[in-house]
Parts: sequence; C-alpha cells; structure tokens
Amino acid sequence: MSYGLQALLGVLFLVAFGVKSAVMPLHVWAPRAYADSPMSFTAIFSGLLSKMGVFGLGIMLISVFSKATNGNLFIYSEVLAWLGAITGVIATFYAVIQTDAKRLLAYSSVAQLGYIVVGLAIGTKLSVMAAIFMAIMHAIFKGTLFMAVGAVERQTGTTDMTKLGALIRKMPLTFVASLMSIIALAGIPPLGGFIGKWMLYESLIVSDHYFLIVMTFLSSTAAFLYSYRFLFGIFLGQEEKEFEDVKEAPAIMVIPMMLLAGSLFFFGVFPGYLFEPIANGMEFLGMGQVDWNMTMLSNGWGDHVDTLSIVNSILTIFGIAFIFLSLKNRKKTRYVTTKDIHTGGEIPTENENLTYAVDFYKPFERAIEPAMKRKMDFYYNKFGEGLETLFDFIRRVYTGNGQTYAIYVVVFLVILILFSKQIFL
Amino acid sequence: MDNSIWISILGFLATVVLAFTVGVFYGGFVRKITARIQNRIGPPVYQNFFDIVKLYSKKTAINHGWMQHLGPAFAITASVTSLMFIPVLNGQDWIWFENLNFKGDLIFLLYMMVFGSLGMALGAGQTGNPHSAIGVSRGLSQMVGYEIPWVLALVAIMMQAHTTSITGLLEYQNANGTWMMFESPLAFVAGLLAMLGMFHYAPFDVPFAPAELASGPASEFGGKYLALMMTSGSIFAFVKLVLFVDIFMGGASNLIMLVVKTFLLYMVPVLYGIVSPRYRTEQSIRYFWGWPTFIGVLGVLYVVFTR
Repeated sequence: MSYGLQALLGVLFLVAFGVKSAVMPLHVWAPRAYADSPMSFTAIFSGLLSKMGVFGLGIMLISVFSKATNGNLFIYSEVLAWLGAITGVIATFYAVIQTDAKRLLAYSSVAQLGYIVVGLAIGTKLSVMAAIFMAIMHAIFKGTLFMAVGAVERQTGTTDMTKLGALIRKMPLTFVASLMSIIALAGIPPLGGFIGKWMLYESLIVSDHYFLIVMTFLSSTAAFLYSYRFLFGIFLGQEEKEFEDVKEAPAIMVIPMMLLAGSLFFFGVFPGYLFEPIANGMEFLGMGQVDWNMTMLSNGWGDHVDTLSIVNSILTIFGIAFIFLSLKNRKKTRYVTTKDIHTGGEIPTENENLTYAVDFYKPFERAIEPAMKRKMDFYYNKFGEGLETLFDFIRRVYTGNGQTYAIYVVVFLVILILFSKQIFL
Repeated sequence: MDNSIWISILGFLATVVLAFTVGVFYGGFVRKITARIQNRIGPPVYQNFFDIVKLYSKKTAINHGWMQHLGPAFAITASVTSLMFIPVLNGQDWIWFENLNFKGDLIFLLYMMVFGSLGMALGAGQTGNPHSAIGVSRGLSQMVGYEIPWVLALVAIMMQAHTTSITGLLEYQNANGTWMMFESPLAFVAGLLAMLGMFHYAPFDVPFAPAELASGPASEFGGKYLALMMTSGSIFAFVKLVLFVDIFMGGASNLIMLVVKTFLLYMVPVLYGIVSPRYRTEQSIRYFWGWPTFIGVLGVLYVVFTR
C-alpha cells in the first residue's frame, strides 16, 4: 500500500471509532443519547457500550498502526491524545453547568472517555494499561451512578438537581453507593479510580507530554466540581417538603449498586487482579512483556506507590477519628433539622426557602465564559447551512426552460468528443 | 518485628504532635502579626492552642446527620495521611522517623490533599446552611484556579529531577548541592503564586469570607467537630509548608532550619493577605489562570530547553 493510502485508512478508522468513543469534535451525539435513553439501559449504554469505540481504537492503534510499513504513528497519537484531552476539558466544563443529574453524568462519561483515549493514544505500556484500567473502572462507577440516579428517579419522579435535595436520610444506601462511585470518579485514593489516574499521569510525565498532563489535570480538578454538585444536589442540602415520604429503593436495586461500589474498593486495594488480564491481553497484541504487581504501582523512572500502605493509613486514622467522634459524643448530641441553622440571627420560618441549588457554580461559569461561547453544534449547524447555500446555488442549473437543457446536452456531447481519448484511454 | 511496629507508632505520634504544635503556634503568630499591622494588641500566640483544648473538652451540642458527623473525620484523615507521606526532616546523620515517606509520591499527594476538602464539603453540605453551600461552591471553583499553576510548577521540577517522588527530589537537591528554587526559578514563582491560593488568605479567602458567609463551610460545626477541624487545619498548614520546603528549598536538616524555612515561607501568603482586600470568585480564578499559569508554562519550557 502507498503511504497516502495508509494514512487515509488510519484517519478513517480513527474517525469511525472516534464517533463511538465520543472524541471531540465527534462527541455531539453522546450526551443526549446517554441522558435521554430509558434509565434501565443507560447504565449499560454509558458504562459498557461506549467502551466498544475504545476497544476498537486500542486494537487499531496497538496492533495495526504500529506495524504499518512506512507510516509514522507519531502524528496520529499526538493529535488523538490532544483531541482526547480537549474532549476531557470541554465535556467536564459542560458537566459542571448542567442541572439535570442524568445529563451531568452523560457529559462526565464523555470526559472520562477523553482520558481513556489519551492513554491509548500515547501508547506506552503504562499508559495503555492505565487506559484499559480506567475503562473498566469507568464501567463500574458510571454504571453504579446511573443505577443510583435511576433509583432516585423511581422513588421521587425527577432527576432535576435544583428540585431534589436531602435524600441522604431517606435513601442512605443509595447515597453510600453514590459516594463511593463519586470518590472513584474524582480519582481520590484509596478507591479504584485513583489507580487509573495515577498511572495515566505517570505515563504522561515519563513520556514527556508535559502540557497534556496539565490539560488532563485541569479536567480532573474541575471534575471535583460536578462530583460535589451531584452529591449535594440529590442527597444533601435543605430538606424539601415534597420529598418527605420518599423511601429507600427496593433491595433489588440497592444490592447491585452496593456490590459494584464494593468492587471499586477491592480494585483500589488489589489492582493486580485487573492488571493480570490486562497485561495478558497487551502481550497478546504484541506489546511485549508487561510488568505488574499486585499492590504496587510503579512508573518508568522507578517511583512507586504502595496501595496497601495508603489503605492501611487511611483506614487507621479514619477509624481513630471516627471512634473519637462517636464514642460517648454521638449520643449526647441532639439531631436538628436543616431549618435549625445559623443564619445570623434570623429564625427561618417553615415555608422560607433556604435552598442553594440554582446556578450553583455561577462564579465558575463566569470565569470559563470565553471557552463556552460556542458549542460544537454551532459549527455543525454552520457547516450544514453552508452546504445548503452551496447546493442552492448548484440547483440553479435546473432553470425549468427546455432550451437550457438542450444546451446542456450539446455541451456534454462536445466535451465527450473533445476529451474522449483522455476519458476512455 | 515487634520493635519496628513500636517505632512506627512512635514516629506517627511524634510527627503528628510536631505538626500540630508548629501549625497551631503559626496560627497564633499570624493572629498576632495581623493585629500588630492593624495597630491592635491582639491575642497571645498560644491563644489558638487554648481554643482547641477548650473545644476538645466541650460536649458537642447538635448534629445534622451522619455525613456531617463524618466530615471532620474525613478532614483529619486527609491531613494526617498526607503528613505521613512527606519527609519532615532530611539530615545526613540523623533522620526523622521514616513513616510512609517511600510509599507514595507527589501525584498521589495531589489527590490525597483534596480528599479532606471534599469530605468536609460533604459534611458542610448536609447541614443545609446556604452559607456553607455557597462557601463550598466558591472553594471548589477557586481550587480549579490555583491547581493549574501548581501542577505546572510540579511538572517542571519533576521533569528537571526525573523523579516524581518527594524523597527523590530531596536526593536530587542534595546531590546537586543546590535548591530547586534556584534551578528552576520560574517554577518556584508559579508554585509560590499558587500557594497564595492554597492558604486561603486574602485576597483569596473567598470560600470562608467571614464578612459575607459567616465562615462558610465551617459555620454549622461546633464542639468536638470544630476542634477536630481546627486540628486538621493546623496540621494541613504544616503539611503544605513542609511539602513546599522539601521540593523547592532542599528540605531541612534539623528542627530549627525547618522552623525558619517554613516560617519565612508562611509569611508570604500572610503578609500579602493582610494588606489585600478580597477578590470575587471569578476574579480569583482568572488571576490564577493569568500570570501564574503563564509563568508556569515558561517554567516548563525552561526545563525542557535547558536540561
């Protein structure tokens, strides 16, 4: 195959799988598809099906492009990695300003897929491992979160975070599952999400992608915003009258959530159980010997993180603080409602609304305004309008006059006679 | 084997006590210095210590539910765990307790240090106080601002030393006989500017803004909750200072050097803050995404082209 054909094939494959894995600028379908599909399927759509694009990208990048006869992988991987990082940042910003929980999670899925694409595109052993690990973790925690939102929707009838509030006392188990998944999503140790993020950053810095690491970190830090918004909007904040009688979701909805949330903790402590099949798969695709360790992560410079010490330290200190707070102290304290708060002297009446839920991140929105001016939809629409104008112009050849069509036939015959040699050779 | 467990417990206790003492007294000094600049007499330097002891001995009056109950525990977990992973002293002949110094690295610490704020934010969220919610929203927004120059500074020095671990950075500085702040000065400046935001002194005190938000997230916590949160805050201030000294100023070989270096460093945000009014949140974010980020980018490029 010629070099040009190889390059074209590569671009076409990347576009095809890029659509499925929602890489900017091909992401526009994903948020609405994930947010508006029926709740019982969304967990699978976002958690599992979106990984098909990632899978395709991985197979193409690792096993096909790297064996191209005279191609250069560099351009593909750099461009793709940057697209992935930009997807991460923009989708995170959009997730921050959403008010609907489902839509927030949908944008967050697009952002997380962005990280995974970055990892795959860089193509070092550690980054591919990180990407696949993150893909599995994303399937688990995003599945849990969509299930939790489904449970909330079933019990309350809405997913609007400006209306919901203070469900933590009504649906404590759903809250615990969401909390675990959110901690994993935000990449905070000791849960599984941290392992993937750590490996991604280390692989980026070891392979000299210094500005990519800043982009991914920007989106990862901004992810704290929507993580908190999700928990606060649904489970915390002021208690609302209309949700007084809400009950916990039925066991058949809660148990899967708890199991998945528990597995996040398990893989955060013993990531090796996932490294083993991932490493085998990578060796099968021809990436050579991949080193892994049950509880120890390490990068190419020889720095490492020991997950067991982290978990031990966190659990010990948390345990001490928890016992100190709870022993004797907990029983003596009096439970008060969310209306019984410090308001600077005024006593809020029964019907006074103290909820802070609308425009939760207004200052942040103001700060990122320049980046949000144009949606990608705008450019697609403009492109469509441009095409419409073009075709409108071309349509004018149909004048509706028989004389004109007769001239077209004559012109066509003249061309045929003049250039027949060149055309039919 | 038995012996090593006792030594590690002793190390844990000694480090926590040191961090707590230094952090609390620094808080007292800050109050004194602020008072003197504003031409007041101010409380004695041990006032914060008395406050915390008093709060510990008090009974907690109210709670709003389990998440609020756990919030302070999250906060102290984050600060003490971060402390365990940071080398406090770095001497040739005598080394402070090892704790978990060799088990983690900078990128882990970046995430560990947010754990506490997120836990506290969740605790504050359950109280239902709108001031708390506004404070959290502002605090998280501002965090996105200052983390960018901070990460740029860290990336620059990690590339320079070819390691991501704090002990590795210390070794690099010891081996070269120079401090990181002189080897990549631009990264140091970016990190210092980011640190202004990290300490939440004016003009970046938007999340706590006493005049607008009644201390924001902390406003519903009393008694032992507040005591635990103040303890965690003191330890966390020490953690940030020691981390900065370790990675930019070659660490400290004895306690006196540690106190001198951290105190001088601490005075930067404090003295800058005393004479400043408060930014609005979006101004604060844009400030960090302006010059500090630009200097950070220059710092990274400097390292890339000179190493």
